[in-house]
Amino acid sequence: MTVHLLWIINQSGQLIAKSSFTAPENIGELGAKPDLQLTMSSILFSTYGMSQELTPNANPVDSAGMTLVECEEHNIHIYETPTLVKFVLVSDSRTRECNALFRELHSLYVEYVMKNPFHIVDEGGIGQPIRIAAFTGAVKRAVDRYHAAGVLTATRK
Amino acid sequence: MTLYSIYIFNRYGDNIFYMQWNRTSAVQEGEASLVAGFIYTLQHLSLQLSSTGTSGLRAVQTPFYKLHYAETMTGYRVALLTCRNVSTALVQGIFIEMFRDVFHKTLTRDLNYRHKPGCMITNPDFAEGLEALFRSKQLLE
Repeated sequence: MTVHLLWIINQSGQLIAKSSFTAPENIGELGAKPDLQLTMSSILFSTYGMSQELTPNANPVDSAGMTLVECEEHNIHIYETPTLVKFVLVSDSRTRECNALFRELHSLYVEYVMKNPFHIVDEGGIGQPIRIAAFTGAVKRAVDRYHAAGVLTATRK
Repeated sequence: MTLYSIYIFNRYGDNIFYMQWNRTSAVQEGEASLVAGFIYTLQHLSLQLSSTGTSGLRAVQTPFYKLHYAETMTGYRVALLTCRNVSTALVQGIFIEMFRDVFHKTLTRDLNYRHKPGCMITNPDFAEGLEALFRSKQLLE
């Protein structure tokens, strides 16, 4: 029930926000070289499109992209909003789903980012990073509550 | 449980085997290359997240299907597309049996098969053995 990393990727595939919640060594090279996250997030954006193309049981236009990538040590969870903004969470491999946390993060994005009159969404076709301290703080608190709830659940079992 | 298709790639990235069952969408031109690029990319991303440097991709879940992945030490990669509710652990076990039994018996011991670029799987016993394995695991009926 641990979430290591959050990416927010805009509809053009640009990384507009990233937050780490655990020590860098938990996410290997991406922790050791944070600049790599810019590259890997756009690569993830491309593979999301590929996963729609590969749908074997629906027309690619009707299909939806991947929601979960299962790796040996991590799970990568992906949530796409109707406006095509993607929230990506990297968790440990035991975390099966993050739907409630995604909905909460989406609400925080709407409240702190979309309603902020000084946040520039797009400048000359280039998505602008989210530099809103209140949003960053709110995201940290949401994930901390998520971790605390997980510990409580684990303790109760 | 529903099976859609399987792709096997060798270490050079050649698509050496393809088979489909309950698939309803048309096969697209260049699709095998797209699958190869897709699994290679996610495998690479997974290794970059890994603390040990050896941890790899297991499965990709979408609302419509699930792609299961495994790779051998010799560089053979398999991608199996199934319906979304097929257990990752079940398919990982099936992959182990596939490589240890079916692949080994019908390909490794086949004098006509070579581990080199462009060599396709043409032994019909492999496809038959594969389907028998899937039937024994209730993936096919």
